[in-house]
Amino acid sequence: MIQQLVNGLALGGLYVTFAIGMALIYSVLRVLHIAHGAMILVGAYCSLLLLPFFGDNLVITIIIGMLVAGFVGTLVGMGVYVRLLKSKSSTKYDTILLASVAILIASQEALMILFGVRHKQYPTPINSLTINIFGISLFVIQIACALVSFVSMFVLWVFLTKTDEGRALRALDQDPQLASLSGVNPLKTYIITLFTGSMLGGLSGGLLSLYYNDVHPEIAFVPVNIALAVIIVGGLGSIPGTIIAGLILGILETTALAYIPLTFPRTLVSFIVLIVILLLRPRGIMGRP
Amino acid sequence: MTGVEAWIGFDGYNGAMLAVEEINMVGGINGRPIQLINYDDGGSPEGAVTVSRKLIFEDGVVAGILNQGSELALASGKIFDGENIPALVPWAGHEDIVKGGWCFRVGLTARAPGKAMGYYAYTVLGAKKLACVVTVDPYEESYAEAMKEVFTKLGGQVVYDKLVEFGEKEYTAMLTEIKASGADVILGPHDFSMSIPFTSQARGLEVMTPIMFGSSSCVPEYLDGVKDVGELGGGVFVLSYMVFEDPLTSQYAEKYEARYGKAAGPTASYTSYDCIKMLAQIIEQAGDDPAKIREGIMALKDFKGVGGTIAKYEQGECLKPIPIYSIKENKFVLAQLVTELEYISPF
Repeated sequence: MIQQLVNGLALGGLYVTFAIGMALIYSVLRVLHIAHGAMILVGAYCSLLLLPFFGDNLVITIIIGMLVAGFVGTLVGMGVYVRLLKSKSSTKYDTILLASVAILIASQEALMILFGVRHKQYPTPINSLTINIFGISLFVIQIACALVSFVSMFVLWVFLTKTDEGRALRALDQDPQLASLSGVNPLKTYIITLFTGSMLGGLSGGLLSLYYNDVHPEIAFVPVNIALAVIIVGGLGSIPGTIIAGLILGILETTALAYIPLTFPRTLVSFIVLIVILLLRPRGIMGRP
Repeated sequence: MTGVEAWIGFDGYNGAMLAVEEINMVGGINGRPIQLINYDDGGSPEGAVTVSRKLIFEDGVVAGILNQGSELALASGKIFDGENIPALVPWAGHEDIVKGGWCFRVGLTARAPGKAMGYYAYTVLGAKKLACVVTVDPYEESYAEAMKEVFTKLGGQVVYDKLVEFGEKEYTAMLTEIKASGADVILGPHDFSMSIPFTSQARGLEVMTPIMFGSSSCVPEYLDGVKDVGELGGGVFVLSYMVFEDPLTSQYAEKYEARYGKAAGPTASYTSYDCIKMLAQIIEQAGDDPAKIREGIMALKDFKGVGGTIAKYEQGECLKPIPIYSIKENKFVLAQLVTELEYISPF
């Protein structure tokens, strides 16, 4: 039972790493960033394919993957989202959502053409490495995910509360018009948000591909679905809500898989929770009313 | 050649093309060069039906080679059966594909390897409690059923049985339950993209029970993916369609790598190559009348292919020995060639 709880928490930690960047971008741009999956892919492909150029140093390739994802995400965000946000169309958010889905599909197809359809593995896999504490096995990658979530949350908290840019970002999140009148430069804030959120997406892609030892254009499909469920259940735009929801969904999925003797896709559990939350508390666990 | 399992389609196409090139290099069939007509089914049964109709009604083919996936081959096979055009099934394993009378399997039906694995698990590994984590897929469910049937008939017991969606990579919850169930052998999901995390998570959670996988894990990618797992605890046993130690098979693997610059996939390329060679041999002797080609396939004896020697055909199914490989020092090593008729016959 304790091992299953740990399994669930670890899975939840992985979910938080997928979702935290998406939540951050939503909190400022109010855009459901489905193309976050493309940043997960950029992170995964960079982490693996750049290894031969950096002496098989995973830390370096993961960091490069984060930075490349940050740049790509910023380009996509500024070139598509921010441009469309300026439109006066009443359907601009629908258009943005469709554009975001299209970017993800296009990036998957592009990677398939560029790097082939076969699944790729890391030359030196580390996905079975575990630490045993009092008979409970913890995967090193899962611990890394939990640490990443914690550090990301801490850095974000410092950034949002202790820096001028962070305060501007919060101001823009809470009241865009008032923030603009107070001299907050929305474009600069958008760039910082997109870069940070996309970097976190790239990082989660590197960790995800390492944990399952699989790099393929379709590895982002489940994480994006899960990230959507997590940020909605947690409360759109709420970073603490995202973390709580990720952990809850991880535990619920693990428990359901272990103890319900039926066949169902693991992610179904998260979407049932999502529907229940939408019916009972539409703003999610920690979303603003 | 698109969709989730597109790489298998490409692999099969490459194998078939290699055979076509070889045959054309020596003058084709009775002096006529072969043209390989290939269409993409888009990974959907609807697409499979469309391209099968196109092959028969527009291109006027006298024989066909069906799609790689079971669902797709089931859809295409009905079209070929309905039009009395013989078709070979290179890789798809669902038993219903060959029940219409005009389709013949060159690979293995799901049941035969399942029976061989059940036999191997009980009699050779000495296991008495089986845990199954199987993908929702007609082929995999079918061979898992056959494995469970043989295992329980021999005296074993199924202590854990779970179906998972294709692409599932998170097994920690299931493996924790399997560990508690006392299982002494596990049947895991067969696709290597799933069997890699399954193996890693099992060993990470200290589930050291022998694990068995289907033929899609008998690939270099699987070995690459589990390099860090050492000697894989109680052992990993992987089914294969062909005996790699057979000179015909190993020469083919070398030819494939030289031609395409990469290793051949698990089975589809080998059996697709055999499909072309077999059809060429039969058409050379019997001519290109579809009914004569069908008779030629049914009468075939001891066809030596790169995907194994087909002793004969029975009700559309070929009978051939089934190899099971273990992994030693990150290499596939032949553990046993199951030849007992009872356990290699799908019936």
